[in-house]
Amino acid sequence: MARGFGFLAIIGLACAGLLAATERLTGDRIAQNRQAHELRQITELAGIQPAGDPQWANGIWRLCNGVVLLKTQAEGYGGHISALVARQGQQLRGLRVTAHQETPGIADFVARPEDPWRLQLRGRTAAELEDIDVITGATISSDALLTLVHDALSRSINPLVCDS
Amino acid sequence: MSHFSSAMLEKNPAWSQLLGLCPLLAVSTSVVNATALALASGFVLLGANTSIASIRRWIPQFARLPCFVLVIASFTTCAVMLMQAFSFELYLRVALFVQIIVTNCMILGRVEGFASKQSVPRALADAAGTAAGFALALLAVGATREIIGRGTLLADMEMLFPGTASWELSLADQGMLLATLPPGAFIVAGLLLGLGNALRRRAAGTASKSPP
Repeated sequence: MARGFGFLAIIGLACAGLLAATERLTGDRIAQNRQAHELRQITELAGIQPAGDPQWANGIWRLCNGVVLLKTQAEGYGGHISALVARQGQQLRGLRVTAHQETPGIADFVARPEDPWRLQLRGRTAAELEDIDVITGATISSDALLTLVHDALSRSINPLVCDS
Repeated sequence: MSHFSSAMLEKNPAWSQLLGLCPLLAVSTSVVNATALALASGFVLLGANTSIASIRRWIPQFARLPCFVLVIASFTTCAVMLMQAFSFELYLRVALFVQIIVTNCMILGRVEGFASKQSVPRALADAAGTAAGFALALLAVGATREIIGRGTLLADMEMLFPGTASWELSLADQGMLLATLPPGAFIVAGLLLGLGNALRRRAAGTASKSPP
């Protein structure tokens, strides 16, 4: 019995070694890919490729083409939903969810920007969001998206200053 | 060699053992997704089968399942990291189904039923055969669903192999949406399973036998 546990420990150590080696080999590339992915999302949301590094200040980044990016969060069904919201003046320009734990298959729209329910949010102001119905069966998830968009749209921002 | 072809065809994990159906049905919306999952599953199968076969003498009987799961989980995590490093966008599309390779009974079944009792070369042949058989099933369902559902074939292959954007074939402007939705997965996989059974029965020349 004791020998068995000893062997289990050896296998555990070997597996940990394998994982550590792979992590060493791929860690940098993964970090680069993550960053490139975020930059691609920002470029899509902003409509321009931002010059230089991200300029987040309190989760707000005012680009010089008039688009303002905001990092927002809301409480969903499975946990925090983190998102990037792009606004043009008072209107919603785009929304990308960056992290979520909503139910797969039921709340897939959370990760799908071209979802029809998501498309109708476009161009609306905070007040106009009141007319949107939540999705049956995914009430909490869709309500969370509405909440975080509403928060981002109702924050007051000086549009005359830009960061980059 | 006989282990390879028997694991791939007669004991095909998807069509004759009906294992690994969850990822098979969920991921096979296009050839590129199917290829990604086939590669990841193949990597885990080969790694787990050969390493278990090489240490099979020392694995204590009472703790064999924890050992197997530990090894499979480690190789799955490696596959996840490698995919994130070399094909990040594709990983985002199939992430969940690469992670749940850990719980794929096809892999645990091969390890428990074959690799833990056989020599390393045999386990390797068996793993390669099982992986090829699973890839065959994934690609068949993936290609059928992509053609019917989206009217394309080999779309987005450059996400996996850079420089292959020209492989994409456009057969129709629009597809039948049903094929890409979950019910389409069941219909297509069921029809292909029936086709496979019919072919196998014809090859065996025993048309009167009852289905397996």
